[in-house]
Amino acid sequence: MAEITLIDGVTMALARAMTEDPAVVMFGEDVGVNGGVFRATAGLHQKFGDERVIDTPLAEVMIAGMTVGMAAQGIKPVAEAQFCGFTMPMIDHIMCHAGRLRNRTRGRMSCPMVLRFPSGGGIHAPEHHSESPEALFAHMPGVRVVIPSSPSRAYGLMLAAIRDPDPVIFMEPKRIYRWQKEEVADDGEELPMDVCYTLRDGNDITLVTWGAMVKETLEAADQLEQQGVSVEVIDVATISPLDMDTIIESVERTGRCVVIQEAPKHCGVASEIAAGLADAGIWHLHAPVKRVCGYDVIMPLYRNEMKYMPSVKRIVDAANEILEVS
Amino acid sequence: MKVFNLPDLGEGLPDAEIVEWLVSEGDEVTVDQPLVSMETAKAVVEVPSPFTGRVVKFHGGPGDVINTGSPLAEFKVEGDTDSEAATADEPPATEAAARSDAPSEPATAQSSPERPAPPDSAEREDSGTVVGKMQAGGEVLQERTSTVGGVKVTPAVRALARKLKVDLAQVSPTGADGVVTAADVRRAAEEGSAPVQPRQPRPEATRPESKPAAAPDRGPEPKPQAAPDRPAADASVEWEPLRGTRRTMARAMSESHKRVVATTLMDDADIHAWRAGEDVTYRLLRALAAGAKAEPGLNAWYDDEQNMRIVHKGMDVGMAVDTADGLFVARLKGVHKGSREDIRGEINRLKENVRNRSIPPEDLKDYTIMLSNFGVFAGRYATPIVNPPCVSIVAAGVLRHEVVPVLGGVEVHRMIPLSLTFDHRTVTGGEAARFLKAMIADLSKAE
Repeated sequence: MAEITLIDGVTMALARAMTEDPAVVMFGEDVGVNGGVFRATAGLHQKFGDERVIDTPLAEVMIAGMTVGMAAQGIKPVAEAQFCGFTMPMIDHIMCHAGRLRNRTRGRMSCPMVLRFPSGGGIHAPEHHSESPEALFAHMPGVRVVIPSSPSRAYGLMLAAIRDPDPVIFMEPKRIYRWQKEEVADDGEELPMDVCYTLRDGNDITLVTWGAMVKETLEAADQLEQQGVSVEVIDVATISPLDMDTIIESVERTGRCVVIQEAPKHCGVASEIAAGLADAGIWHLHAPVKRVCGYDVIMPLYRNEMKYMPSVKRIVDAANEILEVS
Repeated sequence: MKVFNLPDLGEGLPDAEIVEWLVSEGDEVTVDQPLVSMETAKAVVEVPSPFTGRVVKFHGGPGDVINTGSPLAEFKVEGDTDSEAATADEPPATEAAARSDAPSEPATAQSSPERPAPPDSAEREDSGTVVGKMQAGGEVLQERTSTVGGVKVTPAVRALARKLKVDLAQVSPTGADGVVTAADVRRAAEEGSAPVQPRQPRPEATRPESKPAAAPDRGPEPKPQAAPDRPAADASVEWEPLRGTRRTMARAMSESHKRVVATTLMDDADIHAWRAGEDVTYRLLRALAAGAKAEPGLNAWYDDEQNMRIVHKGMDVGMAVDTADGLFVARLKGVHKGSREDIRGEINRLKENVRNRSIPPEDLKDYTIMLSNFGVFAGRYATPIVNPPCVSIVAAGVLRHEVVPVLGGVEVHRMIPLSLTFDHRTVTGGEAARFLKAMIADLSKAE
């Protein structure tokens, strides 16, 4: 078993899926000869050739349209957008076609596509390279939104996304592309989508997060554990559909919850989780649900970028604030 | 001497501008240590050192544009004796080619025909092919296992069990150190041998003797035993006889259920006045003594064959102690007259004896009243079961906070829920209510 990074996990899953299923094709800007802006598709062009790993013009609307069209005709396209900001022109195809094909044809057709792209900030890239638009996609019916946070989940969830008969938006937290390595076997085993991953067990407080914020959240959990607090950490992993049951069951035990997201607070996924807890779990809460989020501003350029990103300190402070409520 | 040529920092860009050197000439650096911060068209990138050794020379300062593939820095690496022979893959370009006094000029203007080709992918990998400043760590992730339903699982297997609606508590682990594997969960899902139970209580088993009478002093309900109508996939599960303490419990509970006319009263004691760290068990025992002082008829034995009773003057309390082997009721002597220290010492001694199975038989009988503190686990009220010849038992549920009206406003107070079961054959409802009232009054005191 190889020790690989998160982005290696993506690459390994892509190669595996292409080997297993000749219907899987890949395209996007520079995904072929160049191997992708972050090298996620490195080596695939050499291995699978021009017809299956396709360099496209700089035309996101076309990429999205091709993806939907191919998927409707039995091909399994995996399209790359170079950065999260470049997905905005694709939204019409995703929302109005990919997400609705099954419903519109009354189940006669489906749209087995994956749109994958790096998202999130903290790497000193321009602002429209650094955003976290998961809430935008999560608001679209019929579209699944998946964000891995470890090499093994990148591999297993990517395989599940490609094999799924319906459209999946696969957001890759690029800040942690190379953060840590993990032993991952290239065994073709997919991991379940639509369920949360409980990374740590605890009884005093539940920290809920996803994507690159898993890093800061685990560091905050370490600090809280040193204070003697027993912390449960949940990686949501699939943003839509959202597995509220795991979160509610956890908060029924702990009575306290902080949700951490990199995206701005307003109308974010953290708000949806807080609302879900208010709906189904409020009688178990000992304290208000806290959201530690980015601010409601355009992603700052890199001099101010780290002031925007939720820090370990902000997470620990929010946790301590509600731990003090008896 | 080793020469480090500027790698392609991400998108086949022809050049990058030095923002800042993060080390100085002459510094010792280690491999992967951030060396220089470079700005490309898309981002500022920290370039890590490809070597461990001493930085001998920079090929440019802040503001200078370096062409991809041109020398960026030179290193003296340990064991590298041949100082003149450059061991880099390409010959270093001239400084003039690498340096620029006009960083804003398009880099192509400086390209010379002799400029070496961009380095191959092996070198790019070595120096971090990144767009932006990526956090790269050598740390190897080993995700923690957690314990769910008494078995160990990784986050991925736990998620799989949720997806496949498999109850982990019923899966037999086959992994190393008793860890449940993904294969275990898939097998259980295919066989249907460990379905997640709906949250509603299970329907009654059809054969009455298949289920013991409810034991009041236990925590959560025991796992349902295999019922006669179990699914075929459960064929490997065998009926087993109850032994030892569990058999004694079953017999005692059935006996009680046949004979005692049990009635249960429930109320809360407000313990807002308590100091932090108050000894809950001691206070409950003392409150029992206070209750018996008000209504001695509950601290009594009843012999239903002779139709006689003894109202005790002293109080020995039968304390329920939960163990893996089943329920023990252990006797605490002299609760009516013991000091706080005496009683706490007695509790600890008895619990220890029960756990070690070293308790003398006389300490398992002849108590005059019973107490169950099941609230250390979960549960608010209960209908605890009186063990004849005793005529009453008090059970304390889990402590909780509750909003209470105080002087026209509200406050949040701590509460102990109490459940008193008494044998209505010898105790009246009024006696029981007054007993409970005296207990609550005693528990409400600060000390």
